[in-house]
Amino acid sequence: MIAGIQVFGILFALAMCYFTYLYYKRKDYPKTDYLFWMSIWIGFLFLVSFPSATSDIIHPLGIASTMQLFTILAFLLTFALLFYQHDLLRKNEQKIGKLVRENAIENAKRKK
Amino acid sequence: MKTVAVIPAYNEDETIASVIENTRKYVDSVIVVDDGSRDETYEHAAEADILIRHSVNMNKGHAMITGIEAAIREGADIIVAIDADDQHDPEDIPLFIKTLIEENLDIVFGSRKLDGNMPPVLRFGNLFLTTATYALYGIWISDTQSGFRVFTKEAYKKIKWKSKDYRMETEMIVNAAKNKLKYKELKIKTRYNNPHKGTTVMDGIKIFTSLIIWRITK
Repeated sequence: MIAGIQVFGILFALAMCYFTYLYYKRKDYPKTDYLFWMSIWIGFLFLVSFPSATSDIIHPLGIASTMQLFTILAFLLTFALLFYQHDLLRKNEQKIGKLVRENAIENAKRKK
Repeated sequence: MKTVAVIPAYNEDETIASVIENTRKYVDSVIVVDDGSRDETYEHAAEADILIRHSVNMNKGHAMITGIEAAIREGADIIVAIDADDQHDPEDIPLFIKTLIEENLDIVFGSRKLDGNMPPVLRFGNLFLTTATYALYGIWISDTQSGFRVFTKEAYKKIKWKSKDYRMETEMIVNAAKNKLKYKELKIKTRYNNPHKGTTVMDGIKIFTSLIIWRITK
């Protein structure tokens, strides 16, 4: 029997699969990004649908339930993304700074 | 020796014209970097020898680098960094340049008097950051946040900062300490025209955090 939280998880995973597919078809995502995110959502969908499938893996790790596994993985993924985004933001700021500077110096106004 | 003043300005249309006029008397050339101001700073800075405009606001750290890179292209040997809000007195510039040359220094820091004239929050924050800088890097500058500084072109290459905001003032000191540059601190006259501008408490927290990070990474 499927519990309420599972229904919510399945709907969420299906919606994310749809958006990933949509972005890929709009050519916003390259194939590698599409395959990466699609495999994440399909894996998520599988685990939400069959939570008992993880019991052989989670019990030796001292994790009580699949829900707990999701929570731990979500935290790890959030921190990894935060780190990645921070690095990306810093690099982009440097690139924008360089562009703005070069453009500003090139168009500097000299007093006649 | 060619001396060039670099004035980064962001929304300073009330003061920029008089700062340019008063600074010009003591240097060979004045460069103003309008850091994407939303007021009429750019129009009011028309008297600058070179007027540079950032298309978007990039913060003081970036604006200073833009101005200094332009100054070096213009053949500057000595760079005078001065704020656009008219809080510094350009009359102090000759003494700074004289001290830099005669004592063969790399950089001269201007330090505001930490007296009743300075707003209490600024005074406490400055004292805290000065102590932290000394504890972590062994360099004592009584006003780590002053924007009035004079340095040589060679020194700039060693003190060049990565910070985009007000942390640049402190990073400059940290880099000077790391590179064992010869420096001196001189007291300057200061006017506090607008209490809402300049370093905030949040900036102070960011600077302190960066001081610790730089100690590990630099």
